[in-house]
This record gives sequence, structure tokens and C-alpha cells, in this order.
Amino acid sequence: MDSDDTEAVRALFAQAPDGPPMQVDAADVIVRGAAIRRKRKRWAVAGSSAATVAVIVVAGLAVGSRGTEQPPVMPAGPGLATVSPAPSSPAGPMKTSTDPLQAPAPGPEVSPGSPDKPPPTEPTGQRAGTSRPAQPPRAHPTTSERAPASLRSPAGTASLPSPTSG
Amino acid sequence: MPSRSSPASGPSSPWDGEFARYFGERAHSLRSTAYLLCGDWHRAEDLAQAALLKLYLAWPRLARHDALDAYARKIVLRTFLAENRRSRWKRERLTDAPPDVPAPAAETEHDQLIQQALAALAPRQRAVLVLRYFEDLSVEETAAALGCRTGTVKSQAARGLATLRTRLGPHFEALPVPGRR
Repeated sequence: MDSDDTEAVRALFAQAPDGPPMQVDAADVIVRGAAIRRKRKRWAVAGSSAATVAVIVVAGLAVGSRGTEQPPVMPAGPGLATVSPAPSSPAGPMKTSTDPLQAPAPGPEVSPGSPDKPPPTEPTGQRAGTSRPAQPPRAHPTTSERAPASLRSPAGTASLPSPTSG
Repeated sequence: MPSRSSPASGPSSPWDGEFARYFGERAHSLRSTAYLLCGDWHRAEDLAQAALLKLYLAWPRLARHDALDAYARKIVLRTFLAENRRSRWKRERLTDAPPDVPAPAAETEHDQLIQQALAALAPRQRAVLVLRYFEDLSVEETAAALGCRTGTVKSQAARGLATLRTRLGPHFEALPVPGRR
């Protein structure tokens, strides 16, 4: 019975008519296919160009933002004009030497380091009148750093007079 | 700025001649397969044209040109099934004549019989029957074309045959079967 059914279906399909003549020929399909091909090629070129531009823009933004996000360069602290040995009792001269206005006129070659008004940065080792090379800044400067310039020796090696000595 | 795009009749591809030769040999067969699948000549021509267009686009990538028939048949089949999956209101209704004209005289009783029989089948059952009994594919080849298992092909074929027998009734018994009187 199944074989009869299959043969009946084969006979049904075999009697299928040819139908009307085809309205489409190979040239039509080729023309449409070529147009689709050109369109796909244009989209591919446009897409790759857009992707390239996008990558360049993103890279530029990344590099630019990295340059601007860097913290500003802070000027270095006041350089040490002279360094002298720490006094044994720094209480006396420290009070008299903290105010630079009351101090005697400093020499042109020595500039005391004022914490209120730091001088412009300059190479500490190249200043005139100082013979000591640059030192790393200290968190708590010694009294000799705040001493008036008149109390210092030009070479920066003299020690402060003791308050009890004179 | 002048356009760089070539006109529609511009330089042809190197495989155009080969494709045109294949089109002349196989277009009618593909359209007949499509007609048995859908039961409408206009839609069958549209299916065949879409399948041949896809075949033309894929032509330079085809490694085995000896399997073109199976590939083209599979394109027709999948295009038909894909169109049936769409909702009905989206489907284009192709016609070359106003709807209020009488039926053409060329449509014979056999055409109507085929259309009634095919209309009674589900699209997938129709595809199985067409591939098995019109294209004479084996169960394995039919399963490969449909992308399903052989058991599915057998069950769909059995259900399709039963539906055809029920739907056609006495016409089914009257079909000219060799060896049956």
C-alpha cells in the first residue's frame, strides 16, 4: 500500500505541466547580481573607511586625554643656600632670624629660603656665593637655614654663634 | 565628480557565461520544483529567480561545480520555507493581471488537482514529498537538504502521503500507477 501511495504521488508529480514561459532570463539575473555586488562592495569600502576613521579618532582622544590628565609640574621648593651644623641650643637665634624684614640686609649673593614666598626655582648648585651643592629638601629645616645671611659665612661653613657666647 | 560605478551593462564577470549556460539548462527544472512546492506559477518563478540570484552571487565561492544542482535545489527549498515562516501579511502577492479576470483556460483539471493536493499539506511535508518523489532523492539526501534527521523525513513523508490520500479521495485512486489497474 505504501508503494502504491508513493507511485501515485510520483505519477501526480510527473504530470505537472510545464507552465507558462519564463519571464526572466539569465541577463536579468546577471544584471541584478552585478548591482548587488557593486552595492556590497561600496558598503564594504565605506564600512572599512568608517572603522579606520573611528579607530584613529579614538586613538587620538586617548592620547590627548592622557596628556592633559597628567598632574601639573610643581616647582621645586627653595633651595638651600647654605648648610651649617645644627646648633646645640637653637631657641635663641631662631626667634630673631625668622623674620626676614628685621634681619640685616642680606647680601646679594645669599637668599634665605622663605617659606611664605618661595623664590623662583633655580639650580641650587649654580648660585653665586654658594659653594654647596644642592641638597634634597627637608621637611623641618634647621635653624641654620632660617638664619640671617649676615650670620653666615660666605662659604657657608661657619657656625652660628652661641647665644651664651657673646 | 564623475561616478566610478559602471553602468548596469558594464563589464561582465568572468563567470557570467558559465552561469548563463547553467541558467539555460536548469532554470525550468528549478521553477517546476518551486511550483510543486508552492502551487503557484508566479510565485514559483519568483522563487526560482531568487534562488538563481543567490546562486550567481555565490558562484565565485563555489568550490564544487558538480554539485550545483543540489545547491540550487537547496536554495529554492530554503527560500520557500523562509517565505512561509514569515507572517502572511508581509508576503508579497505577485500577479501580472488584475484580480477580477476569469481563470486562464490553460489551467487544466490536473493543475487544480495538484493545487488542491499541495494546499492540503504543510510546507515541510510538501517539501519532503517533492524531494522524495519528484526529485527522486533518497531519505538521506532529503534529510541533508532539509537539515533534519532521516527519521523526520520518514515521518513527514508518511504523514504527507496520508494527507494526500485523504484529501484527494477518489482522485488519488484514479492516478495512473504502473502495475495497478
